[in-house]
Amino acid sequence: MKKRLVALIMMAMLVAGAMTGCGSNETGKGTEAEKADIGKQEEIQAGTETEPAKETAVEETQTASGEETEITVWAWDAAFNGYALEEAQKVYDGNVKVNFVEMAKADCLQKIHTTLASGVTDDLPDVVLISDLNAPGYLMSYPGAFRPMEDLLNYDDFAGYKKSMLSYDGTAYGIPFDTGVAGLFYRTDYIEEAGYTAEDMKNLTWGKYLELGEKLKEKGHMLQTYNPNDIAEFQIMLQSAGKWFTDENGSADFKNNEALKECFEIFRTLNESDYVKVVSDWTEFAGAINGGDVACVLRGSWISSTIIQGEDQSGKWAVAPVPALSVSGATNYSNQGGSSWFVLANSKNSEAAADFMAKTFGGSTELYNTLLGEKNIMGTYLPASSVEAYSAGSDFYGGQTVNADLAQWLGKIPAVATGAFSAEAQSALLGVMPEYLAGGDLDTVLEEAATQFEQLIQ
Amino acid sequence: MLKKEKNRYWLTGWSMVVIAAAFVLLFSYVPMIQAFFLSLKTGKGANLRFAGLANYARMLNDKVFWTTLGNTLLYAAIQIPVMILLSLLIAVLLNDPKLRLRSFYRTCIFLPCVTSLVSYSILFKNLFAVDGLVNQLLLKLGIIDTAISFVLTDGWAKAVIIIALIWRYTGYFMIFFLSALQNIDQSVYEAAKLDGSNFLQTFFRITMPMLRPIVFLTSVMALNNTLQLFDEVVNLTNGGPGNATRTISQYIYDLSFNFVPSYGYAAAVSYVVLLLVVILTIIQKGIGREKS
Repeated sequence: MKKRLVALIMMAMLVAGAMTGCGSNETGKGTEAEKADIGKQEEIQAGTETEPAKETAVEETQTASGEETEITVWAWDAAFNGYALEEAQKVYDGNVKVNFVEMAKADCLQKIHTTLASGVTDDLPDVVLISDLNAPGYLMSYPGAFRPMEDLLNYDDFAGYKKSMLSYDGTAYGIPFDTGVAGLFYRTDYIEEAGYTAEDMKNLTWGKYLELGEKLKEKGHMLQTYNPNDIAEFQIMLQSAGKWFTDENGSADFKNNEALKECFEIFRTLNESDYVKVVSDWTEFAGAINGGDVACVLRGSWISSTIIQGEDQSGKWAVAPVPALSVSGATNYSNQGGSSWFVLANSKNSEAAADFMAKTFGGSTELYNTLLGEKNIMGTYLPASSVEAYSAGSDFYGGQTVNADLAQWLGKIPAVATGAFSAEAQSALLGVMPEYLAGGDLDTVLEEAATQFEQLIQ
Repeated sequence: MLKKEKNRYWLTGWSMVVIAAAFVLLFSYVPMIQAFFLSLKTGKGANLRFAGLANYARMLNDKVFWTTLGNTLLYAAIQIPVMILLSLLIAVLLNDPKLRLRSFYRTCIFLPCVTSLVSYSILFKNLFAVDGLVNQLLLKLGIIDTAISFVLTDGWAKAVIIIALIWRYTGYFMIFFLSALQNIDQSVYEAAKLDGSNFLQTFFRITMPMLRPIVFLTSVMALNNTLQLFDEVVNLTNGGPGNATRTISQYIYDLSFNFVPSYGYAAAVSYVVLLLVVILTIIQKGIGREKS
């Protein structure tokens, strides 16, 4: 009898333990997972001290009086985005402390999804960084989650293409940040061997560019890298002609898109050519550039940080505008990548964060001057394109005033409405690519891709 | 008295498993049920609406879904039999008490499965790169004239993934067979030997039948594993070329995170995987029973 009692008590204790265990787990679930994900979470935790004063804290910061307000930012790349935030803090008058939480880019984008989808607002950051191509998807998926910025920012101050990328339903949300203004980075020594001059490189068409490939091959060099499973270059090619994978309504613009058709044809030419270096991932891609295998790299300006890793090639590189397609509306200017800051509407210090971002990234030429001068970070804030850091020549690029050139092209990039479904469109097009490369009819495969795309966006 | 005894039995038993059971219930089964309700909703991101079986209907016409399902089943159909046979063979060989350095070999063969999924995928990617070790070896030996871009060609890419899977998991399943072999009474073998049975006869007539429950267990485990295949494919080929190597798990990931998220549809696809596992397990169980 006694034993039975003991057993009963023990069981009761175990059950109670389990329940309370679960209880505390339930409330702490989000933060536990986050702790595992990222290291710097303690600082956020510390930030909860201000939580009881939540409502008043916002008012206080608006009057810029009293204690320090902590703004939590989720972003990737401490050396780039983290640095920018640090500098922004220096030029801002108000009393804020930026708590930069670094994550890998994919992790960051995924975490924003899971946090917003859960609907929990306790642990929301105040600001997140989202890559431009992904931005419309977030704005569409989580209505009311992001704070519109039209009241604090003058979007005319930014490169025109940027605003269309971070607007949804006619409202602009983000604070435009870095640019992916595209350039054709090339080895001056290789193209000279092939009989091309810097002047020839300036207004290239894709036809002339591919001809260069043939000539480079004779001299034992490769034109560029080629990955049959990656159509990232299509982004550059399409936008240079003011086109995109999708139209204004977000539906597939495949079949009657002459620019896209030309992209496909160029891709097949590259596939069949003997003057490209076949790579299958980033490591091989970067290796081909730094190893001197290829003469040209067509990417957003951010690729510069990879190119300059090859220190022994200093002085041998230059950058030109991108080759133009032959369709109507084609230009030599385009964009690939770039990101923008987004203030969350329901976070703890949302208003303070919006003010901070608007006055720094949305209004300080001094900030952009520092970023450009110190770390080659190029924003899309147009008033800053005359700052002195632009006029400095780069030794690596043989004295070319790379930044000034890129900034000049920046203003000429055709604006396109990328819509929310760029990833779906690229996936659908890649899905039919093997068939096309194997000799399939272009119209047929594009039609098939359009069907796949409709499936994916349902 | 007897009833009391029974009660105590019941009480002791449950007091031991109740915590674990509660946690499993809370963190496994409750989310599973929630996921089922999620799978009945459509919409992007947080804009979810109840739509009945619309997601399941959508799957019928979703070409990418069928491609990825086909790929996943193809991996399972080739990899699992080859791997089970290999691990069984190795286990029998390493179970020979006369073999020297037995535990050394066992460790060596088991070792691949302690490597992390990502790192061994990267290792294989390097091996099978265009200018990787395998290509250079084949070129040097004169077997091929130009390097094969393994991970960029449909058939080769699938083969590389299957080879990688076999490399990593054979040792793991070998351990199950080894421990099962140790439970077979040696006298059975001695009797067989006296009757003049040779190695193959012993293997097929004694070892295999005795191991049937373990073969069943390992094949169910391997099937589960392969149907959830994700890391290897993402790191080796990223699903390419096109969708040629994409698995169903990667598609679920794409639907939730790469694309504008369709959480409802992703949950529906997950449920189909669950159903698939259940059905295949029942079939396997049926086959196993029939023979015995």
